[in-house]
This record gives sequence, structure tokens and C-alpha cells, in this order.
Amino acid sequence: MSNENTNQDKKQRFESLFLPLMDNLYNLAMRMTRNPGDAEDLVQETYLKAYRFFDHFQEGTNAKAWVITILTNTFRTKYRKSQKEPSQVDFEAIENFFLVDELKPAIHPANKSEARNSDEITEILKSYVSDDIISALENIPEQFRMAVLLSDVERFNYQEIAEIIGASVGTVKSRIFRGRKLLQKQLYEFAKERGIVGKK
Amino acid sequence: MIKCEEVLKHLYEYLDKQLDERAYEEIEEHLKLCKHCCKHRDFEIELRNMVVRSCFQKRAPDLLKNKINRMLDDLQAE
Repeated sequence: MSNENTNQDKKQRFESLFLPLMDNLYNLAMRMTRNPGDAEDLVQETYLKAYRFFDHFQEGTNAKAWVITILTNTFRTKYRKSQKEPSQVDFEAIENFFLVDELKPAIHPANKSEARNSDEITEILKSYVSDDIISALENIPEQFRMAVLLSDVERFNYQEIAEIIGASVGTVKSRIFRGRKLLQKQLYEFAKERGIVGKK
Repeated sequence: MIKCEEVLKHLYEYLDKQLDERAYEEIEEHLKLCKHCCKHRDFEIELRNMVVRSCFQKRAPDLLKNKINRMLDDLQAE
């Protein structure tokens, strides 16, 4: 009887900590696996492992970071190998790539001197919808995508991300930098395909 | 004052609040006086907002929620 109560108590604590995070986990899993079926499997497996390892979770520490670490590791061991990723990325070329500079002339040809910054930025980004952003994200290599998502969407700091993905802070910084640049390059490619900018 | 090149190189760390106080203030000072770098900053912020909005479009499907609830019931019974 008392064992049953303990189990029930454990389940309740687990649920109150981790069930509210399911939308976060699902969206992250969607971006990483790039399809709903695998995303659901990944989230379910994450909860299974989290429950089994729940005794190792230290109360009072960051529950979101803990469960996302499990999701990240599960993703890496289970899905990474099956995904095609571009083998070579030309980082030299993207270090100094600024989407804001590339798109400006095509969109504000005439009254560019009069335009205020905020108007100009709105104009530049207006040509992109959510699906463009998602496609662009899904086109960048997995380790960069993960770093960008953990930083931009989940709002972890570099140290937290380093602990989640098991890398140094320097590596995290570089992946975030390059990931964001790759995202902009990809968005630029979309603009080019649509004829918004001329070929460079 | 530091150059635009330096500001743009560390802009992400600045926006992510991952710089030490001095480096942070140097960029702040530069931004107060440089419209060009402000535009880069505003663009990065706006693009990031779009990334966040795009990535929070969906809620976890009810089927998945039910599956996980059932799984937790089974695990508790173990």
C-alpha cells in the first residue's frame, strides 16, 4: 500500500514538472526530426527515459534543461544517422554574410534614404512566412540547428546549452553564430529563387 | 570607439547577453551613435522573433498526450 502511494506521488511530481513542457518538446522534436511521426516517437521516448531516470533528477534544478538533454541524446543516437546532412559547409563564406545588406537594395530601390530602419526591416522580412523560416531551419545541418533552437527558441544561455549538448561553451558559441548565418544564407537562397534579388 | 566590424562580430553574444560588462558597454556606446549597426541589431532581433513564432506554431497532438498519459499509468503500475 505504501509503495503504491510512493509510486503515485512520484508520478504526480513527474507530471507536474514535465507535462507542461510537452509543447516545447514536440516543437523541438518536429524541427529536429522534420516529420510528425518521428517527432511523436522522439517525445514519447524522451518521457519514457525521463520517468525511468527520474530518481536522478535533482529537485530544484532546471527541469526543462534536464528533459531536453534526454531528448537531444535520444535524437542523436536514434535519428542522426538516418538523416542526410550536407557534408561540407563553407564557413569562410558565411562568416560575413548579412541578409539585411543583401536584400535591402532590391526592396528599397527608390526611397531608400528616406526609409527608417524599422520600416526597412519590416519590408525585408515581409517576404518571408513561417513556412520559409521552418524550411530554412530544417535545411541547416543538425548540430547548428539544435544550437540555434536551444538559444533562440528555448532561451538557454551558452553555458546551459554546452551542458545539454555536451560541448564546450566555445563550440556552442561558434555553432550558434554559424547556425544563424546559415539560416540567413538559406533565406537569401529562397529570395533568389523567387527573383527578389539578383544573382550575386 | 570600437569599429562596426567588431560590433557585428560580437553582435550575437551581445544580444544573447553573453559578453562581459566592459565589452557589452562598448557595444552599447557604439550603437548609440551608429545607425548602421542599429539596423543590424534590429534585423537580428526581428528575425529571431520570427524564428520563435514559427517554431511555436503547433501544440503537441492530443493523441500523443493520451499515449504519454497511458504510458505513465503503465510505468506507475510496474
